[in-house]
Amino acid sequence: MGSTTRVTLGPGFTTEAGFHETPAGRLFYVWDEPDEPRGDAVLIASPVMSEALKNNRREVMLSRRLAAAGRPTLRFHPIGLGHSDGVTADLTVDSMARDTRAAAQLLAERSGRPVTGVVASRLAALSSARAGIGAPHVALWDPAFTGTPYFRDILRALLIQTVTTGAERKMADVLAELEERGSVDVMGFSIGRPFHASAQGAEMPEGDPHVTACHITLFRQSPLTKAEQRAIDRWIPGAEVTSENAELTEAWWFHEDADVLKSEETLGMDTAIVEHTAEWLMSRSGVSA
Amino acid sequence: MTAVTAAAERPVYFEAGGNLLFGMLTEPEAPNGLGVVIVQGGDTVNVSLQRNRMAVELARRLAGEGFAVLRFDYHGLGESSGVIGELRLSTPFTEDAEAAAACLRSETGVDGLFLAGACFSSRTSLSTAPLLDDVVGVVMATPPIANYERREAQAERMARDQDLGQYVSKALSWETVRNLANPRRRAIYLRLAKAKLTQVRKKLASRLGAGSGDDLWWVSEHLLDPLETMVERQVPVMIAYGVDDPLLREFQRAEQGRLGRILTKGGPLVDVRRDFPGVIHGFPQEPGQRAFIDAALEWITTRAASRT
Repeated sequence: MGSTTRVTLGPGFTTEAGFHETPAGRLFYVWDEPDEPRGDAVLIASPVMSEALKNNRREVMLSRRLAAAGRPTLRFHPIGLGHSDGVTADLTVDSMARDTRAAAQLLAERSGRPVTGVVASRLAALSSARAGIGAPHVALWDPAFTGTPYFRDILRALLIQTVTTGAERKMADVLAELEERGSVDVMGFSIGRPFHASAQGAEMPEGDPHVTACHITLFRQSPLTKAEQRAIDRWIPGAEVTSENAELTEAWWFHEDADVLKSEETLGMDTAIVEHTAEWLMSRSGVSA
Repeated sequence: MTAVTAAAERPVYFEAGGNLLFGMLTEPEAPNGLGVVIVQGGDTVNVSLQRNRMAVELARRLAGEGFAVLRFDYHGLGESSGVIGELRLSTPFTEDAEAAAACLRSETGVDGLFLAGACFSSRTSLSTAPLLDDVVGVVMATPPIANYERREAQAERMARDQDLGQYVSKALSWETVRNLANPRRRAIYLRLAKAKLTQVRKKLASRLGAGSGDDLWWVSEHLLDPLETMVERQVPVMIAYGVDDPLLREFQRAEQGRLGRILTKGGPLVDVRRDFPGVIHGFPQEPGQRAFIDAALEWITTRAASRT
């Protein structure tokens, strides 16, 4: 069975959706190929579960925006997530990094251009950095730099939810369930023990020599914390790092009215994030946005 | 039979209302000639995957039973083109679902179709069904009964549940008068008053014979009309709620009126299941997800078997 489809969804680029065979299974990808390439390739690494669903349309918008401006751009679903093969129970930070490498290789092969830009959100910031694909320009959306606090916050969200439903639980109960059952149900998403365990103590690689510039967009009103700043300094000492706060604040694991009503205001905020990131990436490559 | 993998899947794009919609086609090894369109989730984020990959699992398990399955993204969402606005229950995306059905038919040659959706998409599925000659079943998870939209829901529920005396009493309370100085509060009060006036107008019209003739003016005809059409066409429908779903309470109230009469007329054709664990509206917990997938799979395979 043919497993790729190509269509024109907008001016200046062609979209190819398909499956890429990897040793771990078939990886779903969407490649936006510019009609007239004018820069190196960009890989978009998606977050997981609830965060992936909430971020999806922004990533699609960014990918099409970059491709229309001449940058070959590829998105993918890690094995065990989305349309890809595999089961979520097998997901780990390392499997995400492995799939990021496979996707980067596919993008370089298909586009014939080096992958010099990476856009990663939430935990994909950590997994894509650990993938070591050597892209010098990295744009991060609301990144998680370390695995332990990332999961602590998610499990806290679960505890908050249980308070609202009257079935109050403690963190120790949740961790015990994770150990005994092999997974824990967070707002209807199954977080497996291997995934949780793989993130404990996971950090950005120390002294990545490839990254020369990093732009961080925080989906909150507060600036980078000291812990985040330390993680960045450890990861890319000497690189040019800029950050900004998006107008949008995202409750990544909670269902909100904005998930039902895509108001013009929300769409405008998404567009602003996409435009800022596209402009930053284009300015790095010397291509006009 | 066991579920298929992504090896049995291929992405497709199809035209709907000037947009190109993205879909994922899952094809069975041993086709039974029937197809299932999984209409995306009930909001703007759950796209063709749905929470916890529910749509992926359901599609692959259905294909394992011989069904060709298409899950797809509405216009303006996921991988589709276009721009989406508000999801309004009074205007479900039938054009998208109808085009998805046509795509599944033309890609696989199936000659009978099931439609399955949740919340807003359950209403899209039901509203699309009468437009299709070859529909053989509809699966609806937590269909909303009224037509009110998210931002109007509270005002309309209050209008329905509180009488005029209660409104007047609240309007004259010191707290309300004091809050009138606050523009945001003023806007809320205006919305509440408008909802009550609309309700009074509809109630009067209903009593004067211009409406349904009962006190259930708030039950959507966009739900009742296609459901009645399905019953008349002898097309089976499954309706699912969790035991704790607030929407189940509305469904039960609505059964006092025309909905109840349609259910009586339909008999076993309309299979209403009210015993899924917890809340399944939005599928916020895994037990409800598991139970619904198993039930939908069993219901569809049983209806398909009874056809042959």
